[in-house]
Amino acid sequence: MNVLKKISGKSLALEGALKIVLIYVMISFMWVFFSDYLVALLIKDSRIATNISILKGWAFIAITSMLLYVLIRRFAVTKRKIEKELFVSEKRWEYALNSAKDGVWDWELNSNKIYFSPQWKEMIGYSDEEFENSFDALIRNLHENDKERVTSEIKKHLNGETEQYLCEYRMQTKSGNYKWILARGKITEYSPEGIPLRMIGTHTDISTRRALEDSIRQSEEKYRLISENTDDVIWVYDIAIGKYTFVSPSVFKLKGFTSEEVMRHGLKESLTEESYNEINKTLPGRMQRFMRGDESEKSKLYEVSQTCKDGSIINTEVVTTLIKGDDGFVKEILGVTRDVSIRKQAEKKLIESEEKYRSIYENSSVAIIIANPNGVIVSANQEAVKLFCMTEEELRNAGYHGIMDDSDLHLEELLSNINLNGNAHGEITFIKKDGSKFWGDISSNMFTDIHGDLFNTLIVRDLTEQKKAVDLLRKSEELYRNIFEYSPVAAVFWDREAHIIFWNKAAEKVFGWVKEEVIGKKFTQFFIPEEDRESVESNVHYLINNIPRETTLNKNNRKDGSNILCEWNNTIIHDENGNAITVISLAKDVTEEKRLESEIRKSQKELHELNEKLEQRVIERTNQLEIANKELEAFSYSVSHDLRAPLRAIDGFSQMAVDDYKDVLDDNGKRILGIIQTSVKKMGHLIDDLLSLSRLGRKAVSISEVNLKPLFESIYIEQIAQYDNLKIDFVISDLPKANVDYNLIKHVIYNLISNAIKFSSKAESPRIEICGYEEGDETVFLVKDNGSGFNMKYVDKLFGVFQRLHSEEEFQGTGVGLAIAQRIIHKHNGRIWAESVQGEGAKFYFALPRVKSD
Amino acid sequence: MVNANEIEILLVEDNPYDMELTLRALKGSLINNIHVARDGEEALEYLLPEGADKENEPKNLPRVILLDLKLPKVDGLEVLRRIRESEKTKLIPVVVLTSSLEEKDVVESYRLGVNSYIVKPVEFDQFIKSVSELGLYWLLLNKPPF
Repeated sequence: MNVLKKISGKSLALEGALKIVLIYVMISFMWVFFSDYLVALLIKDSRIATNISILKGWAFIAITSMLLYVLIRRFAVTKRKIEKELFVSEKRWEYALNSAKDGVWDWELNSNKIYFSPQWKEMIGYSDEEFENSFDALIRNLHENDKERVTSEIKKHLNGETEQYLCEYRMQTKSGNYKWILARGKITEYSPEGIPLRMIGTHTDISTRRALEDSIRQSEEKYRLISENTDDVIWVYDIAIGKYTFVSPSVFKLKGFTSEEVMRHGLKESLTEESYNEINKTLPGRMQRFMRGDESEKSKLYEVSQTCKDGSIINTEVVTTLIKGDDGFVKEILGVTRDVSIRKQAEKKLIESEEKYRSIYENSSVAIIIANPNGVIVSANQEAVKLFCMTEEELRNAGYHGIMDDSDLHLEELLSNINLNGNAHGEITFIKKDGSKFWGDISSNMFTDIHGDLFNTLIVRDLTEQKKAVDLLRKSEELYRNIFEYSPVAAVFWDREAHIIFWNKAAEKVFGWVKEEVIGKKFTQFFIPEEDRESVESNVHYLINNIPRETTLNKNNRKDGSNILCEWNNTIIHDENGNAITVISLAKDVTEEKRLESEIRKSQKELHELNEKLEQRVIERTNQLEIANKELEAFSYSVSHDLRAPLRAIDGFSQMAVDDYKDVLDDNGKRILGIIQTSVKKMGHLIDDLLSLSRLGRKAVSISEVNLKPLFESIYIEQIAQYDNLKIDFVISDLPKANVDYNLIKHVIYNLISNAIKFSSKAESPRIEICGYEEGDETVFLVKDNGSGFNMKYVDKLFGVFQRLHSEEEFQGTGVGLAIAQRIIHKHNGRIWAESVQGEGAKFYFALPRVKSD
Repeated sequence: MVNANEIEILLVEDNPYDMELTLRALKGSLINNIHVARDGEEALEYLLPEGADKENEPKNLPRVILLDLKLPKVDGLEVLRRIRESEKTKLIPVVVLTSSLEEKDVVESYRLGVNSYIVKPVEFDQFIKSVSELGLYWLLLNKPPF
C-alpha cells in the first residue's frame, strides 16, 4: 500500500509545484516587463528613477513571497484533503484483502516493475524480503505445466481480449510443494494512446478447494469404474420420491434399457407384475422391522423376474440394502442386481451334457464298467454286457473278482493301483460268465460325480485278436531267427548299447567265438581289431543311426588272433517312434577272395607292364622299321638312278663299239658285245620291276567300287597284241563288282593275264577263262589257263621275289610279277593263291573283301 | 671353242658317259651349239652369273636346257627352282633328262615348272632316239616365247 500512496502523492505534488512555479514565473515576467516601463513613463527624473528601481526590487520580493505563500498553502490544504480520502479508501481495501487473506500484486508494465504484497509472498511461504519483486520471479515459481497458460492469459488480457485476467495455477512454495492459486487482475491505467501501463490484481490460495475437488473426482471415478465394469447392476432407489436416483450403466447389458431410461421409470415398470406384487407385499414390513432396530433386515436377497426392453423376462438375484436417513427413516435402498438366467442355463446344459455322455457310454463300442472304490460294480454298458456274456445285474453281483482271473500275477498290482489312485493301465486275464478266459487291456480312471462321490471307470478291451497277431509275429520272428541261425553268412545283431543279442552258427565259424561267449557282451570286444576298438566304442550311438547301408569292407579279428577281411552289410531296425533299436550286421569272410583278387590284380599288373614293354618295343621296332624303310627308299632311289647310269654306259658304249669298230671286230667279238647288251637289257628290266615293287610298299591304297571286266578285256587285248599269230580262246563271264584301288589292281590283272598268255602260248589250242563269284565275305576272281602249269611242290615259291619256276629259255620273265601281284592283293586285305597240275594249266585266284550291298 | 652367242642347248649333266652319249645323240641330229655344265653350280654360274651387272649378261641364252636331277653341289631341282625364280631365265624351256623314275621327282619337277620330263632309257638305241627326238622337237618344232 505504500507504493500506492507514494505514487499518488508524488503526482499530486508534481502537479502543485508545477502550478506554483508557473504562476511565479508569469508574475515575475510581468513584473520585469511592466515595472521598468511604468517607472520610465511616470518618473522623468533619473535620480528618483534609480531609487524607485531599488525600491521596486524590494517590492518584487515582498509581493512574490506573499504570492508563493498563498499558493503553497492552498496546495498543501488540497493535498492533505486528497490524502485523507485516499487513506480511508486504502484502509478499506487493505482490510478487505487482509480478511480474505489474498495477496496483491501491482505491475508497472512500462518498467516491468512488479510489486508483490507481503501477504502475496506469505501465501507461498516467503517473507517480504525473501521474494524478489519481479515478474521473472513469479514465472520462476510457476509450475512447469502452467507457465504457458499463464503468459497466454496475461497476453490475452493485455490485448483486450478478456474483460478480466483470471487464471488458476500452481506455484511452488518455499518448502518445495505446490499450491493452487487463483489469480485475478485488471489493467488500471492506459497511456493516452491506449497502451496499457499498469495492471493490478490479487492472488487467492485455492489449494484446499482444488484438493477437495480432486478427491471428489477420484472417488467418483472409482465408483463409476466399478459400476461400469461389473455385469451386476448397482442402483439406488429413493423411497421418498419413488424413483431410482442412480442406476449403473451395466443395466443396458442386462435389460437393454439405458440408465436414464430406468431412472425415468419407477419400480413397477422394472419388474414383472408378479415380482412387483411380492416386493410390495414384503418390503414395508421389512422396513418397519429395520427401523425398529432389526439389523438383520438391513440386507436381503430377492429373486425377482424383470422385464427387458425387448419384452423378454430375465431371472435376477437382487441384494438390497436399506439405508436410513438422518431422521431415522429408511431413505434409500441400495441394490445390486445379478442375472441368474445364465447360471440356470448352465445347469440345464449340464443335464443335457450328462445325457449326451450317458448315450456315449451306453452305445460305446468298448466295454465300460463303472465301479465304486470298493470294487463294487455299479453300472456297465451294453458292450460290457456283451463282452462278459452277463447281464448288468450279473455284472453288479460279480464284482471285480467275478470278471478278473485271480490267478493272473498282474491282477493284484493292478487292483491296488486302481484303488490307490484310480488311474491304472494294464493287461490281465478276464473271465466270462461261462468260465472261459480272455486276455484283455484295462484302463481305469477315477472321477467325482456331481454329488462329490468317487467312482472308477474301467475300460476293457479284448486283446484275443491282438494276441493272435502277436503269436503270429512271434512265429515269423522265429522263422527269421532260424533263417539267420542257419544262414551261411555270419549274422550279428546288436542293440543300442552295442551288446550282441544274436550270433549265428556262421558267425561262430567266421570269427571263432561261440554264441555263449558273446551274447550280452559288447561286440567291440570281439571282432573289432585292437586299433579300431576305441573309436568304434565311442561312436556306437552315432553308428547305430548312421551305420553305412552299402557294403563295407572291414578288417576283423578272429578268436585265434588272426586277421580276416569281411564284407559287411548292415540293416537298422527301428521301433515305432523311429528310433534305431537293433542293427543286423551280416559279415562274409572274403579274405581268400581278396587275396586271389589282389593276386589277379598283381598278375594283371605284370601283364599290363609286359604289354607296355611290348608295346614300347613295338614302337621302337616300328621306328626302326620306318628308318629301315626310309633307307630302303633312299636305296631304291639310288638304284633307280645310279644303277641305270652304268648300265646305260655299258649298253651305249658296247653299241658304239659295234657301230664304230664293226670293221675291226670279228664275229665272236660282235657276239660278245651282243651278250653284254642283252644282259644289260635284262638287268634294266629287273631294276624297273624291283623299283615298282618297292614303290608299291609305300603307296597308299585308295579304294573305289570297280567293275573289273572291262579292265581284264583291255589288258588282254593290249597283251595279245605283242604276240604275232597267237590265237587264244579268251572267255570272260560277268564279274561281280570289287572294292579296289584301280591303278594297283591293274598291275595284278596285267601280271595274271600276261602270265596266262605267256604260259599257254605254247599249248595246242590255248584257252584263258576268267570268272568271278562271291563266297562268304569275299569276292573271288579266277584266271585259268590251259598252259604248262607248274608243280604244286613249288607253289610256296610262286609268289616270292625273283622266284621262277621256268627257265629263261622256256619263258621270259624277271620273277617279280607275281610278287607284285601278291603285295597288291595283300594291301587290299585280300589273298591270292594258285592251283595247278603240271602240263595241264594253272588257276590263279585272288579274293577281295566283299562289296557291302546297302 | 663354242661361241656363247650361238649356244642353243645347255646340257647339265655330271656323268661323263651320259654326257658323251647325249652329245653323240644330239650331234647325230646335227645339233652342235651345246654348252655343258658339270654340276648345278656351274649351270647357275652360266645362266645367272653372280655379281655381274645387267650389261654383262649373256645376250644369247640357251633355247632349251636339258637338266639332270642328281647333280653334285646344287641338285637339279634347286637349279630348276632358281631358273624359274629369275626374271631373266624363267621363260627358258627346261627338260628334265634323268634316270629317276621316282614319282616325287616327277611331281616336284612339274610343280617347279618344268616343260618336259624324260627318263633316260637304259638301252642305247632308245636313248639315242629319245635324245635326238627331244633336241629336234625343242629346237625345230617348238615355238619359243622369245
